[in-house]
Amino acid sequence: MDPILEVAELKTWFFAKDSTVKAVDGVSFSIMQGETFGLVGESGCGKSATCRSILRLVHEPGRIVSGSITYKGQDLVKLSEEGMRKIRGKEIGMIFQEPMTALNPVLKIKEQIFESFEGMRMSTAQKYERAIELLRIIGIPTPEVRIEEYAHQFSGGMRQRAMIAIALAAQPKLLLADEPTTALDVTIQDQIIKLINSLKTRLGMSVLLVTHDLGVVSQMCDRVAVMYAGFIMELADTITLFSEPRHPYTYGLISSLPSGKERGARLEPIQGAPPDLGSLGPGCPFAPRCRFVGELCTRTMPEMREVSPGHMSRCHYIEKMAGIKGLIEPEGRAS
Amino acid sequence: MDTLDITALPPAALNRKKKISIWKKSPSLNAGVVMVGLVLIFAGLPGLIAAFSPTSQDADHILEAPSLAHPFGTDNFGRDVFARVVHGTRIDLTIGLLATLVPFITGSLIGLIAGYYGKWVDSVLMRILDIFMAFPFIVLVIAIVAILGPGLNNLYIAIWLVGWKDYARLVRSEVMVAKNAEYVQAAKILGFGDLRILLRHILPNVLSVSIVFAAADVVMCMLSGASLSFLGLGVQPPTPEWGAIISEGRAYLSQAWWICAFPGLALVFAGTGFSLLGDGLSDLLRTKGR
Amino acid sequence: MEQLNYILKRTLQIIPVLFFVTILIFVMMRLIPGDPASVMLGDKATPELLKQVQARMGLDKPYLVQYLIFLRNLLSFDFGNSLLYVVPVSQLLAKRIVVTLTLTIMAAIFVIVISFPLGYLAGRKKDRLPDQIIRTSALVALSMPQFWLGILCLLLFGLKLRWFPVGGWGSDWGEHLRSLVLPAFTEALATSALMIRNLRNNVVDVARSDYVDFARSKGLKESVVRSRHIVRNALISTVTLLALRIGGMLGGAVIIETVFALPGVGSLMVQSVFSRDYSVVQAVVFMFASLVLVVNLITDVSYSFLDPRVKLE
Repeated sequence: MDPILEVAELKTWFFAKDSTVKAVDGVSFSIMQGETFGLVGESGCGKSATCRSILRLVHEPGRIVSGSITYKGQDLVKLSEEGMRKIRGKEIGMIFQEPMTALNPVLKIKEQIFESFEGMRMSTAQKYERAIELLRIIGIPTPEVRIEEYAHQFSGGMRQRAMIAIALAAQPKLLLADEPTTALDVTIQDQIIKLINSLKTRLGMSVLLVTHDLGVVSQMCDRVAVMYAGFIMELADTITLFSEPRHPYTYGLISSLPSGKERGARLEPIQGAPPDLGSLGPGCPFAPRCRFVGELCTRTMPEMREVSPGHMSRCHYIEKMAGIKGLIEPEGRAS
Repeated sequence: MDTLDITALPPAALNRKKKISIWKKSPSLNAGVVMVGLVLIFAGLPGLIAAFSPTSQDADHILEAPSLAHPFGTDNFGRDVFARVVHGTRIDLTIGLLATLVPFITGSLIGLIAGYYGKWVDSVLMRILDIFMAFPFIVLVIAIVAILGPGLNNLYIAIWLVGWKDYARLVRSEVMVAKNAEYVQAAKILGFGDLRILLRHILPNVLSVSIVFAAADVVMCMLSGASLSFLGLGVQPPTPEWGAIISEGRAYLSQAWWICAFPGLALVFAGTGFSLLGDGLSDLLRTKGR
Repeated sequence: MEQLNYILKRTLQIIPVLFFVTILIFVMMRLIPGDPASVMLGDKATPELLKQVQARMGLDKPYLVQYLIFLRNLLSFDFGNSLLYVVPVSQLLAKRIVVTLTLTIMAAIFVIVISFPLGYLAGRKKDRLPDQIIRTSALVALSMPQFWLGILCLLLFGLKLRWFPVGGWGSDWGEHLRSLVLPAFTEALATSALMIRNLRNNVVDVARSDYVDFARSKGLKESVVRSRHIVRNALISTVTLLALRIGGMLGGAVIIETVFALPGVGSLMVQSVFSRDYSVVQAVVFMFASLVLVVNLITDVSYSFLDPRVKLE
């Protein structure tokens, strides 16, 4: 399998007056053809900034400082604005967390779908036909009526469907989904997950899924990268990550999940809060919250190391973690 | 666990850091404080700053251009324009503050009552508001002055009668939001009286918009007072009010531009000071909210 | 259909407000020290003459009857006669309203020309030099007394440079328009400042919004993103603000017309206040209130067209 997108040593920093927030600080991963790749972490860990960097939609005072994003042999970081425009929508599409704010409130859904066809040689009638077809595929009932409406006339789930329809209108090969289910009710969440999964197969897309929800990851992703404080901490295929986490942060995330097998067991939240990205020390950013912390951790930043083929972890004590099982049997309950 | 406190700072230190950064980050607040401070000094101690009396006439020095002795020149009676402008500060500042203060209180109270009690109280007060909103501010003020007769006191009354409407509208909409907030609902369930809920729980939270608006309103009121005095409906000459000075100097515009120019600049200076202060305050309150 | 309903409903809402406006004006006019008859007669007042005039003006009738007469007269645009000009007030107003309306329209055009480009520029260059210069200028402009600015404009462009007439209205439309340039600019400056601040903040907010990013993520041309998404959405509330400010600008005519010696309703009001010509004052106040109500109506209706989210309650 070939990668469709390769991100290497990406750094996206935000330059405030008195500090520099290194939201993304040397992130590398690749997304294979037809795969769903997950990017998980708490809010503010840099996963959204990574996602936006790919389409170069990072806002001031943020900037891609270095690194490369290779799509079909082109480095998107160095691409001209005009070249980037041709990538957006047609090659890489994106959906956002909150459809209410991502849809233009004063344009009809029709106009917003038509926009996606801009630059293609299509008559208005063809555009209309395609738009209706798209809405039908996406599961919007009576599309002929809804297409003339505005976003505020849609329910939350319908809005998210409409946004997906608009993002997919130009048939991108890669879909960036930035927390696509976060703003939705649990039942609607489930529908949207199923929808994206089925569209992926149907259209042969690859998906980058950004989320803080491990449940969503388990339902959608082939491989996952766990991010913390601007770094990827662990990267593995989904099954390995859940069954054999080799990073204390991943382990913490997993043990804070309710597991079906251990009814009645206590959930364990990770103590403390994510660090201030403007003032990181020299050591591992997770050290202050880590239950396995050693003295090495506060002094030097661990490198990314291979645990097994395709499984990487950024921890000094990968070996110490070796005996620990993930969801299957968490050890070392709160002392 | 001994590695935990690398980033920990005592809360007090964090607070101090935050306060300093607000001052540093809000140059408008700094500039506003300095400018308003200067205006206050001029208003408080005009005698110390101006060498001449604002009313003493000097037939030998009529319509003289600005010079070292008379930095703003002299007017048609040989009065020192600088002295008149400096002494006018107190009058214009008082107009600005006093004309703002009363509507600030009455308008906020009306908005508070309308927003909190709702129902028919709100409907009645809002219909009254609609009527007042139908008039351009200055037209209604002039109409009232026309009935009461020109003069400073009647000018105050006119502005007080008209100026409350914006505060009422602002506070009302804030109260409508605040009264559904959980802490207010909780206070109600606990059986606190209306008055206590209004004063202790709602008022402090809605007052900030009113205060920010008041800072901008001082400018509006100062300009309105000067405008009416300029038209001859407010402060009467020879009192050295800025608008009145400009009105007197208008006849000599082609020979002595300085009579009109400097009082106007004083208005711009004071007004800009209060505007900056208002902007800074709203920045501050917004930062505090977050 | 829904739109038509809305327009109808909003129009009907004006009627009670206008009704109360007439009550307010009636009460105000009765509060004038000395009744209208003695004001009208001035020094000539003898007890018999006063009684005669009072009877003719209906002042001996109960207040309610007086008010109904007042209301009937208003509805038939009969505002009585001007003491000073000795012509029907309605005739006086009809001539002068042209000046005030032209002044306000020209001022509104100036506001648009000044504030739209500057507000947009400041928003796009947020916190950089152009933004700081524009914002500071707007702040200073907001504190500028209009009568003073007008005088300075007269001095510089009228007396010194002689580009524009020093006040007055001229005799044909060419001269009319030329003589309105300075007053309209003076009138426009403060409102422009207000609008620049509003538009700038809107542009900053909109440019950061998800829907602009989403539009961009479709691969739209930057010019399309700018015009269809950023400018259009940012302008909605700015245009509404402008419409609301037109009422204030109408009021500003009172001062501007006095400074520039323009024969509009504003300067008429000031003159009438001094000459105690109360029937004129009352008519002008009523006219201003009606104009403001109509402008607000037009604002609300056009807002409902600009923003589909606005619906009747």
